[in-house]
Amino acid sequence: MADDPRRQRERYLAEATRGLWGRERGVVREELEAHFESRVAALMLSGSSEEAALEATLAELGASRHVNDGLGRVYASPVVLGAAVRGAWRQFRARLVESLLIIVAIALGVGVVVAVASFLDIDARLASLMGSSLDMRELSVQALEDDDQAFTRGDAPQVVRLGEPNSAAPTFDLAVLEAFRNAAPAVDYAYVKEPEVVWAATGRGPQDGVIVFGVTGDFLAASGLQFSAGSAFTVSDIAEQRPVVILSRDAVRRLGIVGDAVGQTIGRSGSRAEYTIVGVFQALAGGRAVGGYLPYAPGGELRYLYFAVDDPREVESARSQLADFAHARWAERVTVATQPGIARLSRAQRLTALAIALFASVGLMVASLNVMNLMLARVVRRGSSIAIRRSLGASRADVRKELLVEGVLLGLMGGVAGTAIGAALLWGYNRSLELAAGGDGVGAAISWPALGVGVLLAVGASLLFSLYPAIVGSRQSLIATLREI
Amino acid sequence: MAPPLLSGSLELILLAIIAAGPRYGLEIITEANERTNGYFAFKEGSLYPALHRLEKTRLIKGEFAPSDRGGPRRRYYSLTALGRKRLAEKRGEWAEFTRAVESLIGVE
Repeated sequence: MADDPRRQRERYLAEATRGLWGRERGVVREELEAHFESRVAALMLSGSSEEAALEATLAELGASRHVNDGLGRVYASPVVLGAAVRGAWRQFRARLVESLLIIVAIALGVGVVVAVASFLDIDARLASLMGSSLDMRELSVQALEDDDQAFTRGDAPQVVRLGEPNSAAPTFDLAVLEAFRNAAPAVDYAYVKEPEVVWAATGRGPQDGVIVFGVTGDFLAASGLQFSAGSAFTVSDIAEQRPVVILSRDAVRRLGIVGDAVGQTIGRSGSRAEYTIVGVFQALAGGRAVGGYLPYAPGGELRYLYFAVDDPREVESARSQLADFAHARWAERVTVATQPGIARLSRAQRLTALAIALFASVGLMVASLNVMNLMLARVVRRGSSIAIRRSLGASRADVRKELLVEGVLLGLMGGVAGTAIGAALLWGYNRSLELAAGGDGVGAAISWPALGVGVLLAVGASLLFSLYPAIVGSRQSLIATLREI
Repeated sequence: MAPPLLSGSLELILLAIIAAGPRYGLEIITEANERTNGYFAFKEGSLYPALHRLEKTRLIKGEFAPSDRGGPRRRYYSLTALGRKRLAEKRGEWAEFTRAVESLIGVE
């Protein structure tokens, strides 16, 4: 049922003057009111009822938003960017539902991307949370014969490695290492490799220093180091804790040692002890640069235990034997996994992350296309008001600029809303972790880079996807549109 | 009429109508319609913003005055000195333009 014509008139006046302020609003309103009165009076004189006359006048006036658009352009010059922003803001208010739809489309896309970007940071904290809250040590097992280097870490392949210790987890020392070895006949080598010592240069070169590992006897047998000068220290060197060290060629270079390194001494940071270099080895192919090794000095808690086998087929039985022993002694507080298993898990995690990123990208793309569609529809519906602007002297570039500013404004709003959605998603995730696992969750929060990416993405996407609608809007047939008004 | 030709000609049309004496919106529309035999049957939706634009650029001046029929006040627009000058310029440009086009397209 149609509205009362008087109410329609009031609504028309309100819509036509929306966004205008002060004297301008008053002047336009009074002028339009007078227009209504004059026209209605004229039509009534020619025999129309008041209702019919009001309806006819409204029809003659055309859509209120055309008047409003035109007046808005007059009182908010698009030449200045600030005025263009005000114009865009006025359009936002005049087409609130439409604008909100665009903002929601942008916000959903950006929200997912921001949440995924922040997850990369959370992943590390989650791993840390799992380690600390479950009081577990994780052991990994792998074969020495590692043809494709897939399971070699550093310059020596490892079979079993203990995870990072924490206060409540079972502690390990050399006696535990021996106990493991005795319990697992399939294990060929059991050793310690503690990254505990940072060595400084001898004063003859750069002071950046190198990290040297304290190792036990089996390491030398398992590692297969190739020496270019001197040789490895011996089991008796280890047993008697002699101050000897073997260095990689890279470490010798970094420490600025000149001439034959073997026989020279190097110092240790924070200590007056001096160690004699007995051998220089070549880093294994594909291995990362390692400083060197020295006999492990017993004392303190071990961070890692390593177990190795010669035959890859023995990896699983070694793992099984080590696991049985660990479970018998520490129940579920120690887990044992093979390196291939860990590698598979790692690949699965990477694939999952990739899939999430892909879904997020597809989501953003769909959202962006939606934004373009909505912007296009918005521009086409405003054909008449754009035509009025053009007829009043605005160039195509002016029209394009205004539509782009509108796009950026909507993009900014969408970016802020999207970031809020991302934050809400992360908060929900954090809260569910807290409820499921106890503790403080992982402290999931929007990272500053993710925030920047989100807002930039929103503005960039909206600018990009406003471009086509802006071009379409500025090229509409002026005369045809104007005569339809 | 191509857009570049129309662009700016609305200004000329309005200035020319108002030059004859103070007019209010409805009068201007009626006059434009009648004098062009309905060619410029544009609606108020495009008129009022155009009038306010001209007023803002000080080519015309709007003033409320009582209606001659006793209704609410109407806003009458009249040319300013700047508006008269602009109208003269625009008329000259238009005449020159139409002469040039006519000589090309062969209108008698």
